[in-house]
Amino acid sequence: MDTHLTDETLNEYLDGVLAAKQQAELTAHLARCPACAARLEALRALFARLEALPAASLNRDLAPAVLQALSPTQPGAPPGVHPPRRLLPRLVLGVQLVGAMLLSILTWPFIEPQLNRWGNLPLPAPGLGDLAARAQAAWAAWLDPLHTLEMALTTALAWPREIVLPFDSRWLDLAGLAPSPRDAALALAGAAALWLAGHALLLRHPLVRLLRRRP
Amino acid sequence: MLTPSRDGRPPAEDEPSDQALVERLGHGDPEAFGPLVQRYQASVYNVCYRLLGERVAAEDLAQETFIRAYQRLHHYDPQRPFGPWIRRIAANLCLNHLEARRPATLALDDERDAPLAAPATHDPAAAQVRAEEAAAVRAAILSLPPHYRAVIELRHFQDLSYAEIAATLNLPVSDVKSHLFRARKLLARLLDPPG
Repeated sequence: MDTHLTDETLNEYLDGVLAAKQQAELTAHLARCPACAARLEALRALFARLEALPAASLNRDLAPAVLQALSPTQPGAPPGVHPPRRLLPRLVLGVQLVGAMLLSILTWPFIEPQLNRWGNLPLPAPGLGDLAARAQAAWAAWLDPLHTLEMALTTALAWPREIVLPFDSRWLDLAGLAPSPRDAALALAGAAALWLAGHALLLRHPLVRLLRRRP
Repeated sequence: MLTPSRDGRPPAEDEPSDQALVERLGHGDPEAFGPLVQRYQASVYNVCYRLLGERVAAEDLAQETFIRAYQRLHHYDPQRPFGPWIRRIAANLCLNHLEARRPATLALDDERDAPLAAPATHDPAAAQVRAEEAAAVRAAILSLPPHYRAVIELRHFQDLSYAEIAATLNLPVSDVKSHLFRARKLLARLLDPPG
């Protein structure tokens, strides 16, 4: 090897990444080439200066702050090795979905004739109407005790019926809206279903989560 | 003041090993992370300090390194030593930090090299020489572009191979070699300017 060694070769030589045979050849070259040997020594001196850099002292213990940041009570705390199970959000999501389904079933008897009126749209699977009717019957049966309680309160306390049952349709009559009870129930149930489904699904969509993420 | 160390403080005989602490973490005992932080905080801080050159920023990034390590413990191989793993995380965090804040001011300040842990000496003149030498080396490293700084840190202070540096920085080995060789050339020029 007659030519001088490249900088890259000298670096690799000092880093000890060359094959044993090549390393030996370079050692032989360096022994007979003062120019390359001088460049190698300069590089070795640089290595030594880096190696000799003293460590800086850390003036405080980081452990308390780190553990505090990792505390599960901290908002946005990292999940750690065992990510905490997020049961509550899943439970809320389940309740909301069930609620939305129930409301949809309850409102179906009102929606079905409307759809028929609007153009004989094909109806969903047979039996859904029956299911909705049964659900509505159950709902009405569940409301009966409430009506009984309302009457008892109205009688016993001599309160106006509007106070005991503030959402009575007569309030709407007073406001001049005068919707039929069926339309009012439909609007209320539809809005509730939309809100429940929207809150449960839309706000949990990854895109929405991304938008809500802190910068 | 915590004892500076390049490799981290090894556990005493009556202390649990790194692997035992990681195992406790795996069984849901977050308190086991405290001893690991105390064992490696000085070496992690030094990685950050060499790369950032600012004490407060280095402390913040060192703290962030441990939080990040905790979040990524499932990536840690308990068969390997903990120190190199967390120091690699620190180097990557610092590199990302440097890249995010480019172009950064590289002006040196007195605070940067003030309380260094130089070996105890009774010779003020020798201590002064050592402090000046350390300040010069640190300033030279900090004048490098972020990726050059990172490869110098990983090669010379963490003793990683080219392949390990490539894996840590997500770079081809050829880039690691060229960054490293150019960084050394720049350092040599800065520390020993041609007359």
